[in-house]
Amino acid sequence: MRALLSENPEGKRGERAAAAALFSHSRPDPLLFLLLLSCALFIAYPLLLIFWRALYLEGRPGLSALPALFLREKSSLFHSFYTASLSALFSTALGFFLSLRISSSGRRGRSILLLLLMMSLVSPPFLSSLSYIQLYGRRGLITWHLFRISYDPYNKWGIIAMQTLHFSSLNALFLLDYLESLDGKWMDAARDLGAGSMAVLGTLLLPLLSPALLASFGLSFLRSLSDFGTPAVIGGRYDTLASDIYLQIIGYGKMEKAAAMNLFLMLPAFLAFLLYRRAVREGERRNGNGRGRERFTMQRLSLPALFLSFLSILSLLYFTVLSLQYLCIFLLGFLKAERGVYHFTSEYLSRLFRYDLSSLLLSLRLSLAAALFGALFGLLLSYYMERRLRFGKNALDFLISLPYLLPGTCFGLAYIMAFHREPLKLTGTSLILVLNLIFRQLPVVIRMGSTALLEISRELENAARDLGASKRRLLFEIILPQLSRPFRSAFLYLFTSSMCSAGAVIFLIDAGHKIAVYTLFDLINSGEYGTASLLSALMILSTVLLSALLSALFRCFCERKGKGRRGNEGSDRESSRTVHAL
Amino acid sequence: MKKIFNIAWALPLAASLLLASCGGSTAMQSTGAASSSEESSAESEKAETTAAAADSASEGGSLSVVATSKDYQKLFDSFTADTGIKTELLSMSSGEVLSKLKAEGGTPMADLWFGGGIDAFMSAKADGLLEKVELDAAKDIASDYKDSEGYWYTKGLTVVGFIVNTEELKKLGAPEPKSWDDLTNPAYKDEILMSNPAISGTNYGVVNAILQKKGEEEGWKYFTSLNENVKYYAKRGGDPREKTAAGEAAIGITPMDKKTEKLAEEQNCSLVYPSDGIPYIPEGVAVFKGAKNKDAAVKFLNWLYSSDEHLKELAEIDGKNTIKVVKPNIEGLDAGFDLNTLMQEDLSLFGSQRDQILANWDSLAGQKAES
Repeated sequence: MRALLSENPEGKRGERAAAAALFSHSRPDPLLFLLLLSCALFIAYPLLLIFWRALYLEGRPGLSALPALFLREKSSLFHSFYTASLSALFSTALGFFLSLRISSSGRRGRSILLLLLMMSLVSPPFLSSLSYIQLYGRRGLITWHLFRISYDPYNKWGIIAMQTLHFSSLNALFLLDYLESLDGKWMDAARDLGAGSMAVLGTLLLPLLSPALLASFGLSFLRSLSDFGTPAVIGGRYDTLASDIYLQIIGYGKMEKAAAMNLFLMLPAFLAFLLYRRAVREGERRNGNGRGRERFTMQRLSLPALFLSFLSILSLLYFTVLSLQYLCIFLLGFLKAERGVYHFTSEYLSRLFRYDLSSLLLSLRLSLAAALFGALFGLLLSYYMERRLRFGKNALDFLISLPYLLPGTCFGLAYIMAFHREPLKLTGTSLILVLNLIFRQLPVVIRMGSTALLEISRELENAARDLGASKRRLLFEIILPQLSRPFRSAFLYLFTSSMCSAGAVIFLIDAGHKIAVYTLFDLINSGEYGTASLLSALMILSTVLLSALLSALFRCFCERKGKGRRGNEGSDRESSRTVHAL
Repeated sequence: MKKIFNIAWALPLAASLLLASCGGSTAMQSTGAASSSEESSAESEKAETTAAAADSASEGGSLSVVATSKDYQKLFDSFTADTGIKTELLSMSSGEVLSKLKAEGGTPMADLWFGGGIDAFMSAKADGLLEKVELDAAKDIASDYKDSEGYWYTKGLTVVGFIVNTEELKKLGAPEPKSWDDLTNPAYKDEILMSNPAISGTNYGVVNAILQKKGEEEGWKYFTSLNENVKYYAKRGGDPREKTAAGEAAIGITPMDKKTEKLAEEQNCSLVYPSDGIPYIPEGVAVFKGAKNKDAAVKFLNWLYSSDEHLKELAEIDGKNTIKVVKPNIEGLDAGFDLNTLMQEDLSLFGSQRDQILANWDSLAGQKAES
């Protein structure tokens, strides 16, 4: 097995890649130039403006106040690091087990599980925390009324539990996607050589999955660092750096201090980033060519009953918790309390339809735009980063990761600072919302693209190049068709996450551009929980339905493409059932 | 088949290139001459025309408003009916408005700021973010409730009290708190929720009012012992009442408004107006500096303050008649409570003391942070 893994035409490939890089270096590609320019304009420039503020901590330029502030914020920095590490660890592990379980189940079970995962991607942030408190709070339905435990969730474990619950779904989808794109022949070979299924899992699957596992870990880590909502609602007296930054901006109006604290956030992020890059290089070295791939599902690898039942119990628990949360959200919309006694009402439903629902349509439109452009942009960029860029790949990757790590409020403010003046005036348009949505989620798309590129053979590319294909043809006829699967994932991810993303866009909307999350926020702020629940149910439903529709469209499209092209390129991967098949 | 495929890929790609080149071309313009992008020039044109329209006749024009709640839409709708000026309403907390204003550097997203703790308005005035407005009815407004230079006015008061979860108190075996002093009773340890005064103007009003009432030294002593009983300081204004109603704490310090009353009604909680004085904080109204539709905003303010009918409409939406305190000569409106139960507050200190009070607060409350 080891031999199988290390069999790798490293030398030849390296030479050719170097030659290609040299080539592309000598004649700059206009497309690459555009991609880089967009990154500079929509990531580097706004971030520079906000970090610039950190220099004015004492009212005049200087760095001397930074160390004192650092000492003051040391404990929240440590808190951030602590919760982010644990949330990332737990959610990656949970996501891994879930993906194994889903991959081992039959078609129907799979569809239901995927549907639930999708729903949790779309769950609007405020309402999940509300339902969390109703279910697991000190007087929660489950904890108190069912089990009579008076458990106080307002501490770091509350944050970690909620983040783990929330991040696992994306990790599971991501890992499932990667797992099933592995070459099934390797598993067959290992089994033929006499390895037990657990041995295959431990010695073949895990090493092969390591780049995806680390990508999940790294993204969850960054996500936890930037999350200010969860600590603000459930953290109690436990402050993380992100929730502190939010307090500094909204409460004290100290933009300079908040900017400096953002700088501190980069410290753990940078560590996570180094770890991730290293793992990717390792994964690249291990993962050989992709010739003659066969679709892989865990069903082929019949796991021992004991392990499978462990997976089942874990998944059952997870999905029960998720379903309860949705049940709670839906029920809130139909139950009305009077003096503490609940009874059924359709009052909220009729109120919902009297409410202005145009914000939902705007949200759907903006999210679709963000998904389409973001997925294309991200995948193109990831291709250039993985295959064409000779210098500065790591720096660029780090730059792209930054918006994901800043608390949404800060990235929103950075956009206002950057784009409120005349030549670049975007405030008050929907373009600024779409751009912000795209560039905030870009690192996820880049990860999807580059993990997918890792397992796409370079040999095909080299062959096409040797046959005289131009770079443009290479990109559009060889690479992009192979990226249709990550495109689908990236599109759906961007679409769903744009629908419910809150932090940054809340700042960028104006009276003419109200999005659904804002309406929801407004309803919750005016104490209209019933109507808010129904609105969020409506958001979840419309997003899931639209995603399913698009997913079916993609599938249809890919299958036709598969038929048309098979035999043409030889190694065009078998069109497979969609991950998000619903 | 292949062709169709290529076209399908190329279409969105072309669109994305367009998007990217759009960004690119605007970047070029920033280095080039002072030509401006199409969209924004169209916008400023529109602004000019609306300003002109609002000036000359009473029809057309638009007004963009940031308010604390969407409920005010009704009020703005009747303004539209009277004047023909279209209004757009956006609701946002005053902390968000302030930080957004500062980032926008003089190009505010809206024209009128309607509601929110007066401390935020004072701070915005100090930063030069507000426009000076001469109101026709200014002389009728009590001097405490308008800025001496006309940068802000007020539209009512937020009064503060407690929401009490009766069942939780029963479990504790503790009596219902009647006053601010009662809250330091050790029986309430970790059972009181309060919002961070930096986030919540209402709770800033509480801290400032109690400091004024008890004096600096006694006042901080009071908050030190209150701190012992406070479970944690919420980062959202609505948290204390929501969580108290859900049974997560026994007592919440909260603004006493319609939402609180509704919640108490639904979740079997009671409301307490503290007997040793009710803190209050005026709710501000102001026009943003650099507003596109400044004239329409001023027109609205005159429309509102010059007519008792319109003020009564506002009072009805707010579910309280505190506008009577702001403009005492309104006929046929009763404040609904004895004004003497309000705490004695020197509102002029609210703005100037804010930074100092919040810094003290931070060191006091920070001590109890979980590690």
